[in-house]
Amino acid sequence: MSSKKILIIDDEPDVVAYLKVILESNGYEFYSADNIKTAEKLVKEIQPDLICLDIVMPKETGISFYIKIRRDKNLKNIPVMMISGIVEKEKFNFYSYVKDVSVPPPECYMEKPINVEKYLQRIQELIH
Amino acid sequence: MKTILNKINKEQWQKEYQILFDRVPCYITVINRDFRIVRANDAFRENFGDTLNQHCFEIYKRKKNKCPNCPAEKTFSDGKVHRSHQQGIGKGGQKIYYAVSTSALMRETKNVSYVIEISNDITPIKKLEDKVIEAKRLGAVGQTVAGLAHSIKNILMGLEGGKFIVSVGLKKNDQDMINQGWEMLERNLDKTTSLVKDFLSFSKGRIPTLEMVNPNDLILEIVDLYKDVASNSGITLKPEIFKKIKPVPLDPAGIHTCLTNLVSNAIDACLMCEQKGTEVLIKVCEGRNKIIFEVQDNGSGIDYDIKKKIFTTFFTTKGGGGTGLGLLTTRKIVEEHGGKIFVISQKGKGAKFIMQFPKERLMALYKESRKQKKINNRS
Repeated sequence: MSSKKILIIDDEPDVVAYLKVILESNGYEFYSADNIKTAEKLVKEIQPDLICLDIVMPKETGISFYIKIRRDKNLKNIPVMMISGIVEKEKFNFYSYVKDVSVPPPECYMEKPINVEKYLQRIQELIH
Repeated sequence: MKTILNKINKEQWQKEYQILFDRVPCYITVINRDFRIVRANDAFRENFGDTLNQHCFEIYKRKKNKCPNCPAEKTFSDGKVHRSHQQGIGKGGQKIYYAVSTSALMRETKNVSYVIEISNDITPIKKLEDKVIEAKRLGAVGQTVAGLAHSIKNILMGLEGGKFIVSVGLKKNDQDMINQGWEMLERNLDKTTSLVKDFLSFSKGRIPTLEMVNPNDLILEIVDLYKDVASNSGITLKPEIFKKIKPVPLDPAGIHTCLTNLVSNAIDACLMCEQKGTEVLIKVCEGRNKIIFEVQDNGSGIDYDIKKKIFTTFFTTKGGGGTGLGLLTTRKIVEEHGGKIFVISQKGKGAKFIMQFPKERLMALYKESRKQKKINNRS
């Protein structure tokens, strides 16, 4: 069975390096984009099994990317894990960022800094 | 018959006048040249107590001496109407804010014997204003704390990442991985230091320490500091000095911080745009009444939504690369100098940040700064 593909979208190189080591040492195929423009190309190209998405990014936010993929019939079923330090997990309210209620919330939200065990566990639940 | 009617009319008029004087919803007092209250209406007595023949300052403010900038004193001296906002103390010890207008009684212009003080109680408005200010302050504090927490969480993630990579490297006996993790730890510790430094510099409430400096020297100092960073990134850093400029009073450390923030942002904006031949121009010039510093780049530019908030909130477009405090600190320093900062920019068309300092204000601050220095030296 081929390994699952995970796309990390984050502008912070240290976060990307950290997640790369976690994911590769657990047998996942790792891809990354440090901006939304690159992410848009890559997501179509690789059709990942999961997207880990940062919210606060330069130029274009993770939220804007999220809305785009949810409205794209070829991409809308890819599970998304939002990872951000912007708000605590318990207080994360997707609709305070997105006014359009027809856009469904992401499958998962994780707060930075992540807990490696929980992170891997949530990935398991989302893509296996 | 006519005399009787006149008398009745006069009595009626006096009665009506007395009702008007007492019931009008504002405080009215008449004071003599000794600043003693000779008449007061019901509303005044109700809130300040029975006060006849006492000094107005004792009653309005519970003070023993005349108030500075007393509007009644001005009216006694020139016979004209004067207005001001004051804070008094009511008979129950409560604060009363009022807008007072003083006029010469009987329209005298010379040798005014009595002044009438008419005051509107603006306490509810003042309380509402204070609530709005407090709400805004709390909002700004909340936003700042949230921004700070976000930056710290990013740094923590970097530190956790570094630790994780080092430990995986140790397990695998992989020196490259250990080095990678160690560098991450070092980098994120540096970020912590710069975040704390920026935050402290932003939180300092201070009067700038002004000294006579040549603005050209400040420009050249910054160019010297950034020339290598810029040239390594293929960006041209151009100074434009104004040879005829004379030394002006500025806080060199403060202006250095402002220019550092602006030039470093300009370099980042050039790096973010994909075009070649980017440049940053750093310039000083002298207007009739002001000193102007400009930092201009032909980088990525700023769109309208971002322009609205760059000087007012804890904000960064650099993701984990910025602390979000640079422009906030810059604005604070510029305003401490009595100056203004603004930006002209369009998305994709570069940006020009302009700091303007009025010379008159700089001179006033300079005098204040020297006075403070003398006091400090004496103590």
